[in-house]
Amino acid sequence: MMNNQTLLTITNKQNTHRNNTGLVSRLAKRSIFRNTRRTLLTVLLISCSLTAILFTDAFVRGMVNTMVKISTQTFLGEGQIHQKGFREANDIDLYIKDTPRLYQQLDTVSEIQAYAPRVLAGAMTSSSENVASAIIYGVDANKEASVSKLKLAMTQGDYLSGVDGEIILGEQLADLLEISLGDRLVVTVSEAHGGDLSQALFRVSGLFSFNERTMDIGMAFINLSQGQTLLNITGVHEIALRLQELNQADDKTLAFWTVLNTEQLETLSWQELVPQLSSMLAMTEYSTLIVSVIMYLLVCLGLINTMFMSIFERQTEFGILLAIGTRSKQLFYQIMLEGLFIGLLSVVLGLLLALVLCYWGSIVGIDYSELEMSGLTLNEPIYLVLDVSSFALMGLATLAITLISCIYPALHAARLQPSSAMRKTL
Amino acid sequence: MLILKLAFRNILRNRRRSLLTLLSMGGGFFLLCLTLSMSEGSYSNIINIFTQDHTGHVQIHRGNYLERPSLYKTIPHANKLISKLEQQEDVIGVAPRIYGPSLAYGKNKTFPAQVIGIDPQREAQTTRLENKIKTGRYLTNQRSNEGYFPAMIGFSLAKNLQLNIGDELVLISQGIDGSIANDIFEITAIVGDASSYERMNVYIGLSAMREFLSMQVGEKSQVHELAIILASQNQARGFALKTQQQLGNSDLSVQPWQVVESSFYNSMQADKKGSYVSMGIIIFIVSIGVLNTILMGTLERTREFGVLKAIGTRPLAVFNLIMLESFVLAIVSCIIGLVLALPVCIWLASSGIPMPEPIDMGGIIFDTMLGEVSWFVVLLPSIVVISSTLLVSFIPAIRAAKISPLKALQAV
Amino acid sequence: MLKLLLSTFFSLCLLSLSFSVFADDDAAALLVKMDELFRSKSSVATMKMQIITPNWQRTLEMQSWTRGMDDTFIRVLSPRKDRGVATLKIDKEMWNYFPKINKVIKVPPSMMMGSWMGSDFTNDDLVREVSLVKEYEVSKKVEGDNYRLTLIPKENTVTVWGKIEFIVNQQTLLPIEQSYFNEKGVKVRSMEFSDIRDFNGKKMPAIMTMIPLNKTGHKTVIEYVEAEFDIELGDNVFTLRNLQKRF
Repeated sequence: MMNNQTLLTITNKQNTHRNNTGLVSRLAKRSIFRNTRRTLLTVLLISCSLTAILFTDAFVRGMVNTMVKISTQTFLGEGQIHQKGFREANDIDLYIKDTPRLYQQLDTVSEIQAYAPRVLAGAMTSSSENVASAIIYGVDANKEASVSKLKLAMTQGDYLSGVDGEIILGEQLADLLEISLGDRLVVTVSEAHGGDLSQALFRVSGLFSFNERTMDIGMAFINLSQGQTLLNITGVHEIALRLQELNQADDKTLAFWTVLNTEQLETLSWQELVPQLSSMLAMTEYSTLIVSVIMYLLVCLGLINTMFMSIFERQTEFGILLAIGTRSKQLFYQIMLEGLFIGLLSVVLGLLLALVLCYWGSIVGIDYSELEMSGLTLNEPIYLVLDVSSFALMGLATLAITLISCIYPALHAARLQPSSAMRKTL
Repeated sequence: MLILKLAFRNILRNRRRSLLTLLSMGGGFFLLCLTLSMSEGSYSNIINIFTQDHTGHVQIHRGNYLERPSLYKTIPHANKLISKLEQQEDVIGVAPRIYGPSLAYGKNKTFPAQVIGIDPQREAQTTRLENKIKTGRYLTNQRSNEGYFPAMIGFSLAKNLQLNIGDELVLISQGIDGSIANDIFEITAIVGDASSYERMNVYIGLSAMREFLSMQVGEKSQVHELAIILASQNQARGFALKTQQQLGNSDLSVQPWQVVESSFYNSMQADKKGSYVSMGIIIFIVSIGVLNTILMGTLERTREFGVLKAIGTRPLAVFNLIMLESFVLAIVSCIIGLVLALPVCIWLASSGIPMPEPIDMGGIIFDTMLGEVSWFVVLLPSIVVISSTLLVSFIPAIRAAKISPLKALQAV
Repeated sequence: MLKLLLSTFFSLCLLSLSFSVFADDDAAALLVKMDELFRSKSSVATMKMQIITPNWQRTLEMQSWTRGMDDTFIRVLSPRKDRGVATLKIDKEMWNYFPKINKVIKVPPSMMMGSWMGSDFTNDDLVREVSLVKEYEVSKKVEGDNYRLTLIPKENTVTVWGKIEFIVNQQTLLPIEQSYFNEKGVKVRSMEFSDIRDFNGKKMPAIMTMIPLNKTGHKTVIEYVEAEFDIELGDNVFTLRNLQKRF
């Protein structure tokens, strides 16, 4: 009967096939580790390049984030509410009335984490030594501390505590007026609705420094209630908002933007309040994009080069393989598999390294505190931002390029003439 | 030179290997060059636009006027100084200015305003003031029909005072002799917009300013400031230093824009520092690319070197041979990279990459990313490629020089 | 040159009705006399103001009219360039007139701390009335021929001064010097009174010299040339129209 023999042949053939695939992959693995040095070099190049790109990506994201945070969280807020028309000339007559109702409304908006009401007016501050003009802000001490960095910026003395007569100044303003803690300071403003002169005596209770000249020489803070009395108004000029998430400032579809923009009120996000900042960021993003493209091209170049090199250098080896009967197709697959393994290994290594580096960077941060950037002082280190999609994308892209760059050399190797390949040249 | 011939022959013998090495190094050079060009270019662009707005590249003041401005700190004999400066070939324009903080009075409102006396023609050559006129005519030195001097007013100030072209502007200040300066001017132009530097300024002619501030007695050509524009912003520091020395022990300070606009300069520097990180990473990637190719190339040739040693080549000669090969490859790749990169850089510097959306920074519009062509842009990549090549070739070269022929020939 | 000056230089224009020798030892009473020394129902005076700064020197000649504490009218007579420049203060509002451009400008609150005509006095000094006895606690000490009055501001007094001192001659009961101290006790400015003359029956110091001690080279000297008190002033003196009137 044919049965047994056919069965045997068929099984043999199947086994051989299975053995062949298994063989190719075993061979691929073995040849990788046989020349560890070469493999190591290749893997090193690919993984380092991957890490480098991911690091830069995280760094730039962190930088952008920090820049935005610094400007919004120092004092500006992620959004501000004003009476319509106030922002044009800072006319103190245009103040937000009916604040209790507005506060209730703000309390119900879930996206708003905290809000800080403020009155502000241009004023003359006089000490016994000198006179200087400044902007006086009347703030609610607690609410202000949850929106801006005023409390954290205190360098001497005490923060506001709601007691009349307290005033905190920028250090440079105090220098100009030649005063220090406890000294007398008379503040002169003109009242709203009429412009009568209004004066009050304060004692310097604390000094602050935002490390930014315009703020440190031009601002002073008093308690909200006293500010309102001084200016003879019952409302506030400005409400600064801190949102739950930074990107909610971009999202104009959120309900509260519409609700808070009425005939009387104008609510704007930081991008609209300081358009120069968003311009600067757009500029940075664009140049980063160009640099990233260039970087990626570079990495691809390196990859292709490395793979080419590592394969072409092994011509003799392939010649021998072909001579002992390896089929061209098998050789091709073997080389492709090698490339796959190397790719996988490098990508994993690169991702791990990048993860460690970026994680360290996100906790520790990179310190730039001596320098100003775009008119804001970087008084915070840059924390790297890990973006999962970037990691995944770059990892896959690198793997893809590694594989693709193996194709040409693999084809070339598969079509080698064993005899000419084995001709070892010196 | 035998070694040179051998080096060349080795290079040409294994075409593929050499080509790949050249590709890696040349490509690295090309891309590094492009990156530098773009980065330098955009900074120069921003700086140029910023300094031409109103600052100029170099400024001259009396004493510490810059830190503590005062009506009384004036530059004497300014006319002589201006002609001397204009004769120098680096100088494209010199603009004298007199500053007088004043109270501006419109129909019913008063606002503090910075009044600046300028020389209209010189100012137009030095800064972009003339281009910022939104409505009206640029300043002249003629009096109007009613006998008033013309004035240009900033956008926001005009809005606040509710004044328009043809209206009367009353300015009150303090004269240099202590008297009350008061005069009426006719508005002939509105300058800038709500976010530009000029928005709260008033510009009048120098002679009008001198009359206003009672500066005509005694020294007749004093000014507070001279703003100078040079051919390029990177000449600023050198020019300032040179001019300061020429002025010797007079009480004048000559400062480059980096000092005058120190916060802008600091933010540029910080930005640059940020880009140094990415630059460093690119250089790193280029270096390991070079490392990889050279290393692999040399290590694969162990047998070759074994044979060389076996036939009697001295270790030093082997070392030199390898180093020379690498060096030649580096040079050639630099040249190739340069040939490819230069036209691209030149194109970038002249046309640049248009941005998808123009960016407005304080009234200044950016709509292209420009590149730059300079020695730095060409030299740095060359240095990086050549030095990393040499560094990387060092160890394998030494190894090859010391290897025993027997061991080498046994290697696969 | 902006200085906040509490003691009113310009209230010196307004002098007391009559001069009386006062032998009361009570410090507060003496201060009341100081306060009252500078008050009157009305006055007309001619004076010279010499302003000295490191950069320039000027001497202004002015005529002034005052009514109570609220209304003041001052017109500059010389130098030529500033002739006709006038200041009107009614209650808490103030206007300036500039003949050269023929405009009346209301002084905005922000300029109230600015100096008047470049001197060491501010516009604000013209506006605010200060009753020293109401706003300061006073004590008296005898020093040789003089009394020394020490004034410490009360709790609610709005002032930058930590202390003001008068040196008053015991015989004439006229001040010789008024000193202003900051909180740390450093003398920041001093006003010297000298040259006691008789003005239509009133004896008072004709020359006041104001010296800011923290700025070198600055001084303002005011000299009364003529003065008359408690005369009838027409209603048209303290009007905006009067600012522009030919004289």
